[in-house]
Amino acid sequence: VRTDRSTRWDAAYRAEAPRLWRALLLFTSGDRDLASDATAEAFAQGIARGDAVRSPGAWVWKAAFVIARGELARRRAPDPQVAPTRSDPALEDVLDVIAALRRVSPKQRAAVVLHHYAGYSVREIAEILGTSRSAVGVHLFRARARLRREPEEDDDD
Amino acid sequence: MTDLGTKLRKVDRVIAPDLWNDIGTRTRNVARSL
Repeated sequence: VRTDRSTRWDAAYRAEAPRLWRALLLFTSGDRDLASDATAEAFAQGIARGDAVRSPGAWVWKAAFVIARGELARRRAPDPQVAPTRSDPALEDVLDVIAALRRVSPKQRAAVVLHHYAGYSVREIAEILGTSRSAVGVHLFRARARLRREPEEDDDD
Repeated sequence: MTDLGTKLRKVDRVIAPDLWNDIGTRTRNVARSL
């Protein structure tokens, strides 16, 4: 017999995990292992908290980004694990955008991925990242400005 | 930035989540252990 708790978390897993995993892949510059670990760890921690978590879907996004940001901060360089073959134009676009996102700071990258990929509002992103709405606005503004520039223009920044 | 969002969302079509079953198994194991 399934408990309400497991049913609730299974539903959250089915609804959120694929999109969360892909958002983490973009945020981590293509690190599949880190995306998988952060997704699994966020759900495991959430399930352990059980009914104390009111909204599992929202909770796992916040937890997963905390976990991934912490792990990225400990690393010297990202570890891209996206397939190097570029036979698919859509995959080429994804690889290009992952490469471009490496030029912005982790906070800016998180804001861009959460807004432009996951579709969260500035208010929701502030909640996920544990910051203010104005800070999220600044992150998005600076990231967009930098992404509009050519890579060789970044030297002065 | 519409172009940025369009490019980002292409990840849905071209990259399947890794260790999908493993994550599910791990999550269910945690749930069972509670």
